Parts: sequence; C-alpha cells; structure tokens
Amino acid sequence: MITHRFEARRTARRSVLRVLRMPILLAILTLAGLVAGLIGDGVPDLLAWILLAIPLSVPLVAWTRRHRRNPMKTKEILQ
Amino acid sequence: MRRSTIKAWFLIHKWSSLVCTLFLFLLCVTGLPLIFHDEIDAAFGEDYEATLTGPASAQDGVPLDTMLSLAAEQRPGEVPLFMAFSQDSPLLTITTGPAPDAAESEMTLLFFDRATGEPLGPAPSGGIMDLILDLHIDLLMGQWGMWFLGAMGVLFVVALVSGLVLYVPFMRRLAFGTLRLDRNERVGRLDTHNFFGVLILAWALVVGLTGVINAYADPLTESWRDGELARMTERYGDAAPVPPEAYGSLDAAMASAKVGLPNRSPQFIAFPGGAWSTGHHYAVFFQGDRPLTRDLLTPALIDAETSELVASAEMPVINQALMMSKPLHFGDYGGLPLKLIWAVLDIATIYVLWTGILLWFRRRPGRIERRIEEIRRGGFSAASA
Repeated sequence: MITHRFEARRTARRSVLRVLRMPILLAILTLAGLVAGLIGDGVPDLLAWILLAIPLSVPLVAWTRRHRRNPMKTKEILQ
Repeated sequence: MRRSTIKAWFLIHKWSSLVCTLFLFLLCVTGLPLIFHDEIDAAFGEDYEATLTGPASAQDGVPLDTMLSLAAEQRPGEVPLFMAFSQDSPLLTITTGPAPDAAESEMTLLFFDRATGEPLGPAPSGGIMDLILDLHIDLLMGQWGMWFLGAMGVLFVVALVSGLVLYVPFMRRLAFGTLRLDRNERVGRLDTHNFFGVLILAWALVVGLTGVINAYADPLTESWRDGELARMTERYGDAAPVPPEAYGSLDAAMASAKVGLPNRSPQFIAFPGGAWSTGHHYAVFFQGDRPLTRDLLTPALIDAETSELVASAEMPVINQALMMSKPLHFGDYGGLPLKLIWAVLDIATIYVLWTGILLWFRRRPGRIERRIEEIRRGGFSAASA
C-alpha cells in the first residue's frame, strides 16, 4: 500500500503536557535569557545570549527535517 | 478539546489578531530600526557619549549652577525643566521651555560638556529616527494615539494566548517542529505559523506586555505625583509655586540629595512645576547600578528655595514595575548581540503576522466549521484522518 510520507510521521494522540513540553522548555529558556541579561554586564550578558540563541536555532533543526516535495526521497521511503 | 471550545478560541484568535495585525506590522517595522537607535545615532550624528573625555557628568565637572546659567544664555526668557546626566561621559543635557509646565513639543534639549563647560548646541531633532520613534509611540496622534496602541498591544497579547490554546489541538498528533512543506500550501503555512508562533511566544508576550505598560506610563507618573509625591510634600500644601527667579543653588540641592541617598548616581533633576516634581521642589532622581535597576529611580525632594532635603522615598511598586519594564521592551541592556537577537525575533514576529494574514485571506470560502476541522485534525484532511 502506498503511504504518503507525512502520514507516516503522524503520531499517536499525545497528552496536552506532551504537546506543550517543547514550547514550555523554549519559553523557560527565553525568559531565563531575558532575565539573565538584566542581572549585570559581562558574564550574565553572555549567558543571556546563549540562552536566547537556543530557541532561535530550533528553526534550523526543523528546517533540515522539513517534509519537502522530492520524488526521489518519496521513492526511497516507498521501497 | 471540544469542538465548541476550539470554535470559541478560534474566534478570539481570529478577531484579536485581525484587529491588531496592521498596527503590529507598523510597530514591528518601526521597532526594528529603533532597536539600533544608539548605533544609528552614533553613525549619523555627533556621538558625544564616545567623543567627550573626562569624568562622567553624573559624578563630577563644572558646577551645576554654572551649567544652568549657560543654558539660560542660550534660551533667554525660558526656564529650566530637566537636567540629565550621563553615567559614562561628561555629556550633560538641559531641557528648557517657556514655562515650568511646558508641553513636550515646546521643550528644547541642549547638550553640554560638563568637563569643560562647553555648550554643544541643541540636540538634533526632526530626523527620520524621531519620526520613526513618534510613529512607534503614538502614531503621531499624541496621548490618544498612545492609548490606542496600548489597546492594540492588549489585543496582541490576547492573540498570543489564544494562539497557544489552539496550538494544542492542532499539534496533538504532530511532532514538535513538523514543517509539512511537501503538501499543499495551506498545510505548510499552518505549520510555519504554529511553529514560529510558539517559538517567539515568550519573547512576544514580554515585549507586548511591557509595551502596553509603557503606553500607559504618563497616567502612572501622574498618579505618583498626585498621590505619593503630594503626601511626601504635604506641608507645602497650597503654597504658591516657587517662581524660577527664586530657585536656590542647584549644587547645594545636589549635595543635600546625596546626603539623603548616599552612594547612588543621579540620573536627572526635575525642576519645579513639571510632571516629575511639585511646584516647590527640585526632584533629584537617582538610579540603580545594574541593568536591572538602571531604570529604577528613587527621588530625593529638595526645597527649591533653600536647597534643603525634604524627603526621599522609593517609588510605588507600580511605578517601579513601569521603570523596570523599559529595558525588556527595548532590548538595549545586553550589548549588540542581544539587539541582534531582538531584531531576529522582531522579523520572526513579522513573519508570523504575515502567515496569519495569509491563512485568513487565502482560505477557501466555506463555513467556520472547515477552520475548526483543520485545527482539530492538525491540518490533515478529513479523508486521510
């Protein structure tokens, strides 16, 4: 049976906590970064940049894992 | 989540977003250059903070009374309204106006080098950055514009919260970060809108809420002046305001203030009769020494005639919250890297607004049920579910 690739990625129904796990983690990193920068200059600033850079790098990961239109890849999956 | 619950949140998200989107676009677009206003001002104008050498004007230099008389020479017939200090350079600014309660539009900002006592002329104004700033603050419509944008900020916060609520049923069967760009345009757009929306959520909430607080700053300052400040200076009661010609020595006033609040650095002095003082006092505002407390001001009230300390007190909690919220809105407290992060998040916000508009505009005609179904099924069509 031919299954479309993205349907294969469809997971079982997840709990609310599970769905919000990553958003909450990212929110905590963001807020910690925002507050860290307020505490002082120097090391706290560096900490703020690192904490805030983590959520910003997530799209790069998601982009490499995106589902794209690619006949070759679809074939590989079907085989 | 029940269908009716999703429907209610969908309608909240749709309308709160639609109403504020246009103004949020404007705020994001004007906000972008404002993040870098220090760098832009320094590049296009005289960067006194960097070029003047000598002790910081907040600490030392030519006597304040001398500086004040220099300002009076430049603006004859006007009265001093504010004197502001720099923590890093000898740059000192004096604001003058035709009357103690002059409106902001009538004020003139003068630059001075406190190390040498040299006047540096009036602050450049009317540039493109000023226009951008005014658009960002009040749409060039004064107090009402400011309150209007504050209301748009409230709607933005509502849109963010309702968006998060809708994120849950949509993502129930999808892994975090799923970007289905291989299917039809709409599914890909739903995914990017949800993904980037949830990514910027915490930052957008902070900047949105602090923006709202800033929009209502003037009434808060007013209530501090009419409440707390009036109580601190009760014994002056209804006495006639001190006329400018009777103002006592500013250097003596600063010395008295430093006795009241030792080991702190002054940020500015508010002259009698303005929004930040009473009719009888110099209010010397001291600042904290960290980014966190840099905008946290504590005033010392000085009798404007005798230059003696009357009272000093922390500002009320609500006003402190207002002051602390400023850096969190501007993103100017962690060097250039933080500003760049602010800019990236700002652009990401524009992108979320844009995908949101497209989701609304480029929808297939149909009843609301189709939208609800889309959210319930995480963008999967009914046939494949």
